[in-house]
Amino acid sequence: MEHHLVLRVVSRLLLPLILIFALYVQFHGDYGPGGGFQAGVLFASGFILYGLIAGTAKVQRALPSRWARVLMSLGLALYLGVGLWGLPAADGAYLDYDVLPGGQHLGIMLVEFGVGLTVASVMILFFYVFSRP
Amino acid sequence: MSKELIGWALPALMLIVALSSLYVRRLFSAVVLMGIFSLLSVGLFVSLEAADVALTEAVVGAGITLVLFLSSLALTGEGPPAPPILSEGISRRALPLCLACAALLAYGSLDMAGLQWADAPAHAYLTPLYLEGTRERIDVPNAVTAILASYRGYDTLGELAVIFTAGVGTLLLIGRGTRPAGG
Repeated sequence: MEHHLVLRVVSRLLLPLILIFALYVQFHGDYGPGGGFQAGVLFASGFILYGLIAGTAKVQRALPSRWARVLMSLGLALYLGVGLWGLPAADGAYLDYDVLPGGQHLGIMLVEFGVGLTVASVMILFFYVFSRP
Repeated sequence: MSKELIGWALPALMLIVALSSLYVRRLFSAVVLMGIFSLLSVGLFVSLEAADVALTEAVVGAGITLVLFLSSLALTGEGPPAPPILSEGISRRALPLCLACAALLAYGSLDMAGLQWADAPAHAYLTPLYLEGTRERIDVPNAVTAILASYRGYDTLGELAVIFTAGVGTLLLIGRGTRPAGG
């Protein structure tokens, strides 16, 4: 990849836009098309593009494999934790967002963030594992 | 008119691409054809106004799946060009079985609700319940997100657990340590 100058320059220009667009898809999912699954894969594709142009070693300096593993677990834990939040209330149930202070809106946003976190980390880890020299 | 044309042209193109992926000799070409197939189905979903599904298909089907397939090709090596799957001729015993399965599936599809059929069972009570409930109880403009994260919260939790499990499984199988040289 050393000599593909155009590819490297254009990819570097696109990278921040891809990450910002992923965050937009993540947090605008309540209003338009999108959500955690799509945003997670988009965010991971930014890391994969960087890995393709700069090498796996450099992208692993940006997000070490160990951190990706922690984030992968944190996302699922966030989803499970939001579900537990509704249990102590008198008429609450597991994954009932009505008892949250922000209501349904906060519940959906937190849950989607958990989905995005896990999906992005798993996809990045897949790339790390498959592209290992 | 143009919408009807797209409704016929896209599935026809998808059929051509799917069949040609069986005829190509190189795995790389088959993978690229699979990406084109995903891209065509994105167009189909957009023409059906399913923006959320189209976005998912675009990033997962045409994006990450392609990258993972190409990475695994690079990992395992292309190998010598294999004979295409359909070059050996179709087995005489398999042909009636396949035709019978196809006939059965076609017969089953006769009972399926049409795309714009308002009397379909799913639209009888479930669709109005979700659409009105989203406006009154959940207050999120995108009904798809409301169904996914709130009405079907357990399903989405299950899907996330599946992805987590896939990540853990992959790490356990091939993700530990470094590969020994030459292996």
